[in-house]
Amino acid sequence: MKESVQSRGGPQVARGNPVHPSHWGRRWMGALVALGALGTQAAWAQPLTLHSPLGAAWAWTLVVSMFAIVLLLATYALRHYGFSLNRVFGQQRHPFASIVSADWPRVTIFVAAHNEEAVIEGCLVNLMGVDYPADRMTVVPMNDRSTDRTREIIDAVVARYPGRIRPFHRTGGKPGKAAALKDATETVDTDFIIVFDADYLPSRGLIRRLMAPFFDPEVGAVMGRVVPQNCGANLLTRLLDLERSGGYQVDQQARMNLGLVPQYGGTVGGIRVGALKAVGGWHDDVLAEDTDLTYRLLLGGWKTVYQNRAECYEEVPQSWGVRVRQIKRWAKGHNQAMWRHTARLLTARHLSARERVDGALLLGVYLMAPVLMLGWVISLLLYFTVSLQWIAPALVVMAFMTHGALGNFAAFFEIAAATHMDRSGHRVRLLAFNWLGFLVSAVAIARGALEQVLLDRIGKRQFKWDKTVRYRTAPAAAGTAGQPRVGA
Amino acid sequence: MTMALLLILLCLGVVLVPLLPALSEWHRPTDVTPLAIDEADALEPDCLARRFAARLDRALQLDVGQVGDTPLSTLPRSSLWPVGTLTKKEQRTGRTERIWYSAGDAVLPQGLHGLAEIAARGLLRAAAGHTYRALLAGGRLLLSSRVRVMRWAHGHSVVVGDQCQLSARVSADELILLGRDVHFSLLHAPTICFAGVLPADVQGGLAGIEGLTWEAAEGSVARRARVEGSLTVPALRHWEGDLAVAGHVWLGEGCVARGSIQATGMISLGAGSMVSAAVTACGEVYVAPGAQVRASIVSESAVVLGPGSVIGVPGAHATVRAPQVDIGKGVIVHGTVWSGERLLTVGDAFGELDDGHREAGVYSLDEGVDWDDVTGRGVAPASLSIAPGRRWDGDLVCQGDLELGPRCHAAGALKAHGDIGLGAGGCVDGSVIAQGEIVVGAGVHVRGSVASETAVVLGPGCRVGSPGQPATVTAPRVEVALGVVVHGTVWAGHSGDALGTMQLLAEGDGGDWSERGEVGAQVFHLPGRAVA
Repeated sequence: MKESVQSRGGPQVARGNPVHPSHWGRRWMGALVALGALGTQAAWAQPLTLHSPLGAAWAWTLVVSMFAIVLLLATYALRHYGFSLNRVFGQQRHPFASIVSADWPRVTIFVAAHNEEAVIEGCLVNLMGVDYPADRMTVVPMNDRSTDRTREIIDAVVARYPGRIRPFHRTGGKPGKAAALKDATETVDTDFIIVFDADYLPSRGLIRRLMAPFFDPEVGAVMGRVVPQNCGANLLTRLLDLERSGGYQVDQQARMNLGLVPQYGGTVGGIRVGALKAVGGWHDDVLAEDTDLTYRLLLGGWKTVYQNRAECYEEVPQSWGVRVRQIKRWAKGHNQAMWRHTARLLTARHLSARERVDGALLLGVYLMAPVLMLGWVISLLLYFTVSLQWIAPALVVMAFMTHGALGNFAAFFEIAAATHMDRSGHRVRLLAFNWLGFLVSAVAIARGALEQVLLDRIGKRQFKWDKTVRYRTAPAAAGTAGQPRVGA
Repeated sequence: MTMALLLILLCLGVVLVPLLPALSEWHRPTDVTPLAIDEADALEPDCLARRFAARLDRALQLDVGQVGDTPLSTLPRSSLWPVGTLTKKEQRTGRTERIWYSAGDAVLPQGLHGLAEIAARGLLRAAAGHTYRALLAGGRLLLSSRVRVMRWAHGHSVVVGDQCQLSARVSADELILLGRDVHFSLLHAPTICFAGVLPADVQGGLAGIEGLTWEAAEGSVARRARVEGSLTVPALRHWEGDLAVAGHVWLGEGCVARGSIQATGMISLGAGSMVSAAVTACGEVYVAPGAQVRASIVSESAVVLGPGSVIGVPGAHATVRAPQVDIGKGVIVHGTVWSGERLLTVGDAFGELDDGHREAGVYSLDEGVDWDDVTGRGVAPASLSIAPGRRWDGDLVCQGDLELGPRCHAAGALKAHGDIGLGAGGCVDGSVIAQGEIVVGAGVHVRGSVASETAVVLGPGCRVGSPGQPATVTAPRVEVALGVVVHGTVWAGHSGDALGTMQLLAEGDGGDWSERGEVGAQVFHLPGRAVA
């Protein structure tokens, strides 16, 4: 199958069907090839000729697709390298980190819980220990139709801290976190809400740090940093710990620095209720209410702010199966948001060009896994079915390496930069293993995207709590458990 | 063949070598604890002081003679330390690396810099021109002039002398008083006063006027003081009683006089000051920007009312009477202005915008703001210039520069992507946030926080926050004029300066106000025409 190739400047010895690109195709391909670092003088001097036993259309389809994929991946790679360099060398923006004295506004703190008997007490007890004025915060455990002992445990904690916790036990209505949030928000009489998942362990100063950006009337949502608490459990948790570092310490903060689009992540985050109402409230027909809200706020003229010092412990998956289900769920939700918001985002005149471009790239980030895998397939097909008359080996190898390596290494570069900034010792040694997590995630995301297109139909799906497995053990009886604290 | 093998080995090496440390770390984990979250909250301004106080208390309870690895010594009460208190090395170098502690008051001696913490349960006075690492006082902490503190200083109240260099965090349980030309980084207390001239008495406050004798007025519960010769009152003093001065009177910025002022010479009321009764002078009466006189002003010569000043109160009319009256922008008089010879108003009293402004992309509150019915928030897509005296409800976001005329009242927060200038005597109920520079005019009261990504300039006599409602002023660069009061925190990322003199000018408004500037004063230009 493999056709012979010519040496540069030598006689053309080729079989198959020579294909000459049309005028527009030649220019486009020329631009792509130049971007692929093949623009030497000698190369330009000769026309590009492809040969394939499967025909010219086949050959050109593969080549054009390959270059499109390389271009896309290179764009993301550059974006991630840019983020890392910005974090390491650029000017950092923490405009609200220094607001320590304030007349703090009243806030309602939601703790979303569906069968969370193992972890709900820890979250509530930690919230009772934060240094936010007690008379200005109301904690609302949002118990959505739990069938385990979640309700019992919540009621026991409520009794232990009288007047400070107002439980919201939901027994009917549409399932899912977004639907529960929608119902619970209707009961709120404060201007701000903060949302936690039940496995989170808020630290002492966390609420103040999440609330500080709301003194800016342009801020609609605030996102804090998530730190894995069970990172020492096994290799997966250690890899996820590294991934989280890269994602928050570098990616989110760089987007904050550069005035791009930091993302509200659905937990460890606050929302201005007025802004939420202005953009239509919670949508209970979405798979990722957090991404959906980020973009609706952006389109509605509200900013999302990332607070890197607003750190909170969470529990990360300890088995690969749980991790695969989790990331598939995220990917589907994100892709749904992409489907809904990309067109409006790109045409939103009130947003800056950089916000529009970065917002669109952020929306497309979960598409890159299937695109990458498609690139692998095309690379193989190119190698075995197409002969390029023009420095072909270099082209194929370059294409393969570019999409395979740049895309991966850029993310790894972020992780390395993050561990450096976290001064986190030896854990960066595990960086080389991240290819494993990367590969599993890529396959899971690609499967998720495929299911979404073929089975779920984008935009329509049955909604249910897709709960992540917890690894802490539930207290033996409500009210008898110890009082977990951060770092315990 | 050999080359091929070498190539394969090289490729395998490239792939496998990075895996070796990973395999090692996986096999024998050395770093598996969760990333530390700042549970002690190091961002809390007094965190370091509290932490040291706890360590010191523990060491004293255990009577171990050292805090951590550093020796703990007892401070002599007097600044004349007995022979043998210092080691030969300390005497020779003029530096001590011991931690010093006193159970009562203490005065630090001349010629000894402290490279470790120094603490006293009562009053602690630092020696002028000396350098200290950290100072802790249970009572008042006095930093004499030109003192340098490197890490932190904390006291029940803290008095900072002129030209101190505070690269440290300075915090107090009650009050921080600052002198002139102080360089600071972080100040934190329920009340922070940029008073300029400090009270001579070590326990003195800002109440009353030093050197004045008050006597009860006949037939009245009010008291009265007579002064022969001119009287200068430093910034932020407050008193109750009538003043009769045989000479000129200069009131500092932010002074509050609950009584009348009468002078045979001229009277000058500082920016942001307030006089609750009549002001009468044979000479001129100058009312600085943002000042307030709640009763009549009578002069036999001239009255000059600075931008944003207010005369009288609603329902109790006052009279401004003089042969010549000059009135600045945004002045409010509740009552009568009676000018015998000349009445001059400076600039356009209503601050109307002309076509030139619109061509430059500057709009007014009425035409340039899109108000949201749901949130009550207004968004201006371009620069905005708001006329003097306007009042509105709701937050305002401006995607260009934002300029408020004198005596505006924003019942909400302000945000600008560019600069913000707040005209004299105005009031903002919420926070003021900008990516560009924020210039807060004289006598302005901002109830919320002031945060800029560039710089904040607090004009004379302005206030930020309120008692019981703290606020933060933060920016990479912070400059503060005399007479400013901040309830909460002032945090300068790169540099903060409490200036001895500052003059705020508006573009195109030279004349009367610029002529009053002192030689060598810092001069800031407000964006647009807002006079501070």
